[in-house]
Amino acid sequence: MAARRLLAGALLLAALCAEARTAAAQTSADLFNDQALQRIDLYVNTRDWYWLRALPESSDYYPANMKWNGTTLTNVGIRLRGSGSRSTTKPALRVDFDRYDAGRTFLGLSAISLRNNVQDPSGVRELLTMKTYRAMGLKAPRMAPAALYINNAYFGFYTLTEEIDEAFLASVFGESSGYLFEYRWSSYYYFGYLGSALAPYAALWAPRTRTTESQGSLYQPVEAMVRSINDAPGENFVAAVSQYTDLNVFMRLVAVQAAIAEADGLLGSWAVNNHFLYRMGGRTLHHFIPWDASSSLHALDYPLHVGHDENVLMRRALTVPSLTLLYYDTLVAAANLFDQADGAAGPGQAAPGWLEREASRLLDLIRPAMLADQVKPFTNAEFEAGAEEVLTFTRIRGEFVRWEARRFMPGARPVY
Amino acid sequence: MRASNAIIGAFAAALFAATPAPAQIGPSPAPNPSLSPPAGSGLHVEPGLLATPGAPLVFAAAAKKDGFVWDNRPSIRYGDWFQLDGKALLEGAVESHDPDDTGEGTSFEWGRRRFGVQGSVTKYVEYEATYGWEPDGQWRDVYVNVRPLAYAQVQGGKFKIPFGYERLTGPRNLDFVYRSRVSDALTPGRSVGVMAHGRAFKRVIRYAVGIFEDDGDQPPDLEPLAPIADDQAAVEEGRTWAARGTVSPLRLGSMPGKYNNLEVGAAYTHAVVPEGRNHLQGDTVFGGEFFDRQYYTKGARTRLGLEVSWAIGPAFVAAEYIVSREAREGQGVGNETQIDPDLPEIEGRGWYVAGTWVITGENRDGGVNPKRPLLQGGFGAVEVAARYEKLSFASAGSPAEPPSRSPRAANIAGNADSAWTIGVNWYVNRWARLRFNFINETLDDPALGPAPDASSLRTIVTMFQIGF
Repeated sequence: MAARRLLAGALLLAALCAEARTAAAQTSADLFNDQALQRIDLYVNTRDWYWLRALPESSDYYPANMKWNGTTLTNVGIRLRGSGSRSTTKPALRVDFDRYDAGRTFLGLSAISLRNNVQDPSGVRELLTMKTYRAMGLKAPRMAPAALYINNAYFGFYTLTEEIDEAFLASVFGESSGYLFEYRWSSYYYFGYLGSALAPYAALWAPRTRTTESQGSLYQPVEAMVRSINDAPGENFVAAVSQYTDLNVFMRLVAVQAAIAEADGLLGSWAVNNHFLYRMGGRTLHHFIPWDASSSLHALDYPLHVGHDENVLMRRALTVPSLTLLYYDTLVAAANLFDQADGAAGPGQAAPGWLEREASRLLDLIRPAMLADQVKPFTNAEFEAGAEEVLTFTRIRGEFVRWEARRFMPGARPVY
Repeated sequence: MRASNAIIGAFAAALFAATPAPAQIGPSPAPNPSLSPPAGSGLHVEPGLLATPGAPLVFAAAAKKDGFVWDNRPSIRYGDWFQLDGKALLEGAVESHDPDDTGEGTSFEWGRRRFGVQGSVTKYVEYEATYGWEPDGQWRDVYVNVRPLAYAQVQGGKFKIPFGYERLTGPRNLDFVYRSRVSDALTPGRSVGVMAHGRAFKRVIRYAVGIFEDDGDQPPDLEPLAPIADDQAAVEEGRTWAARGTVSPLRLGSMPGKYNNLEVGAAYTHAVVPEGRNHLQGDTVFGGEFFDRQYYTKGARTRLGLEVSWAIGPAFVAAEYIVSREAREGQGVGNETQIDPDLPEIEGRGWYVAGTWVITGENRDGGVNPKRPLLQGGFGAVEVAARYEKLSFASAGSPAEPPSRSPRAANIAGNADSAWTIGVNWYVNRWARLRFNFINETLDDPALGPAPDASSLRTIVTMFQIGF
C-alpha cells in the first residue's frame, strides 16, 4: 500500500512538473504556432462589448481578460481595429497587454491582433502569405489560426497576428530604438517626390514609435529617401538610394508579393499600400515590413508586372540589371518553394507542393471553426468555394510564375 | 501687481471699516450668535446644522433696537419677531508651488466671494440664503429651519449634509487655508433635502438625520453611462441618507465651561450612484489629482466618519477619520464561471490630526476674537497651527491579482497622499484675517500624481479673508 502511495505521489509530482515545464516553456512561438487552432478567450463586460460593436468609428479601448492555453492575463485592453476590414458585426481587435499597466508584456509581446478575415472567404490567404514571406527569408509578422471565444461563447474564426511594434522590431532587427511608421492609404501613391515640406510624408506614414518627436526628426530622412528615389542620377541611383533603403531586400519583397499575387501590397492594384516602414535608431536605412495580406492569392494569372511602370522606385530599380535579375530569380525561387514536393507523388497525380500542402493543412485545421462561425460575412458554401480557389491557386501558381518569369527575364527568349 | 493691490486694498478697507466701530470692540459676544456656535460648544459649525441655540436666545444679545442696526454686520430687526442680517465673505490667496511644473510662479486667485442674508421670523423660524460667485455662481445655503423645541427641529432646503466636522465648519472658522484632504474628498457637501435635528441634555447630545436628493456638491459631477439595449440593471442616482450624532461628555461633570467642550461624534451616509466612472477622487493641495476617476462604479456609496474636537482655552485639537466605500456591481470583466461579476468596492480612507494655539492668549472656543485689534490699540490675535493627514484609495479587501489601472480592475492601482501643514493665522480684527500655510505632500505613487518625478509636493499659500 505504501509503495502504491509512493508511486501515486511520484506520478502526481511528475505530472505537476511536466505541467510546470509546459507553462514555463510557453513562448510566443507557441502562441503563433499555426500547426494548431489557437483558442483565445476574451472576457469582456457586457456593456463594453456592446459599445465596442456599436461605435464603428471609435478606437476606444475596453478592459478585458484574455485566456490562452491555460494562462489568464487580466486587465488587457481591446479595441476595434482595421480600415477596410473594420466591422462591428465581426470586429477585428487589437489586444494590448500594456494598455493599463505600462511595460507589461505577455510572452515578450506587448500586443496582438485578432484579424477578422472578412475580406477573405477562405480564411487562409494571410496565413499563407506571411508564411511565404518568412519562408523566403523576409521579415514579416507571425500568424496563427484562432477560435475566438467571448465570455465563454464561441464567437468566430480569427487570425492571430503578431503586432508590428517595438517587441516585433526587437525580435527581428535586434533593436527597437528607431522610427516605425504605418502606411496610411489615402490616394494612389507611387513613391513620387512630394516636395521638401514634410507634411505630405507625415500624411502617408503615421509614426508608431517616437511619436512625440519633431516632424523633422521623424520625416526628414523619409523625404530624403523619396527625393533620392526620384532625383538620383541613373548612374548613381543604387548608391544614392541604398543610403535609405536596401534595394535588394525591396526587390525580393516585391518579387514574393508578385509571386503570391498580392494585389494590395507595395506594387499592387491600389498603388503603394499595406506596409510598415522602419528606420533603425541612428541610421537612415528604411525597411519595408509587409502587413495585411487579405488581397493576396488574388488570381491564378495575376501578372508579375503590376505597378512596375507607375511605381518610381520599381521603375528605376528595374533599370539596374543586377536588381532586375534579382527580381526574376526571386520570382522563380518563390515559385519553386510553392511547388516544393515532400515525398513521392501518388499514382497518376503530381506530388503536392509546399504551398498546397500548407493550404490544405490550414483549411482542414480551420474548417470546423469557420463552419461554426455565425458572424462571418460569408456562407459556408462561399467558404468552401474560397478554399477551393486557394487550393487551385496553390497547385497552379508556381508553374505560372516560372513561365512568366522566363518570358520576361532579361535575355530570355520567347517561350512557346 | 494687481493681485497685491487687490489684497492691500481689501485689507485697507477692512481695517478702515473696523475703526468707526469702537463701541463694538472688546470681549463682546461673538459677531452674531446665530452664526457662531453657542458659548462652550467647541464647535464652529455652520448655521442651521448642529448650532441649535435655545429658543429665544438667538438675537438676545443685540436685540435692543428696532430698525436698521449695525452690530458687527448690517441688520434689520423688529424685536423678537423679525430679524434680517446681511453677511458677506471675500477671500483671495497668493500661492506658489514646488515643483513649479506649470511655470506660473507665484499666482493670485480669488477664493470664496459670497453674499447673503440670514435671520429669523418669530422665535420658531430661522432662514438663510447665501449666494457664492465661486467658482461658477450658485446658491450655497438656502434653507428654513423650524424649531418648535430645541430637541426637535426640522430644516429644509439646500444646506450641508450632516457629515464631517471640518466640512460642517464654516470658512470663517477654519484653521487652515484648505480643508483637509479627507474632508475635501470624502464628505458630501451641500444638497437639497430635509433634516430633523436638535440637542438634548444641556447640549450633551446633538443629532441630525436627513434625506437629500443627491450625494452633495462636493464629489465631482456624476457622469452616468448611456444605457445599452435591454439594460435591465441600470441604476439611477438615488437619494442620500445621512445621520450624525455628537456627545459632549464633559458637560455632565463640574469642569469649567472653558474646558468642558470636548465633543466626539460619528456620522454615516448612504447614497446610490449610477454606473459610470463616478467614484470619489483624490486631489492634492498642490493641484491635480493623485487618484482620478479611472474606475467604473455602480451601486451604494457609503461613508462613515468619526470625529473629536476640544477647545481648551487658547488651544484647540481636532481629529477625524473617514472611510468611504463605493460598490462596483456588475463591473467586472468575467471569467470561466461568471460574466460581469461584482468587483471589490473602492475604499477611500483618510484621517487628520490638527492642533492650534492662540499665542496672544484669546480663547479658541467660539472662534478667535482678538482682544486688541490692529489699529485699535493692539496687533490683533496670532495663532499657530499644525496638521498631519493622510488620504488613500484602494480596492477593499485583498484582491489576489496585481494592481492595475484598468477601469474594471479587481485590484485598482490605488494611491495615497500624506501631508503635513504648518500655519500661522493672524486675526487682524473681527472681520479680517490672514492665514499663512506651508504644506508638504508626499504621494505613495508619484507617477499617478500631478508631478510624476517629484518625491514631494510643496505649497506655500497666504490667504486673506474679510467677512461678516
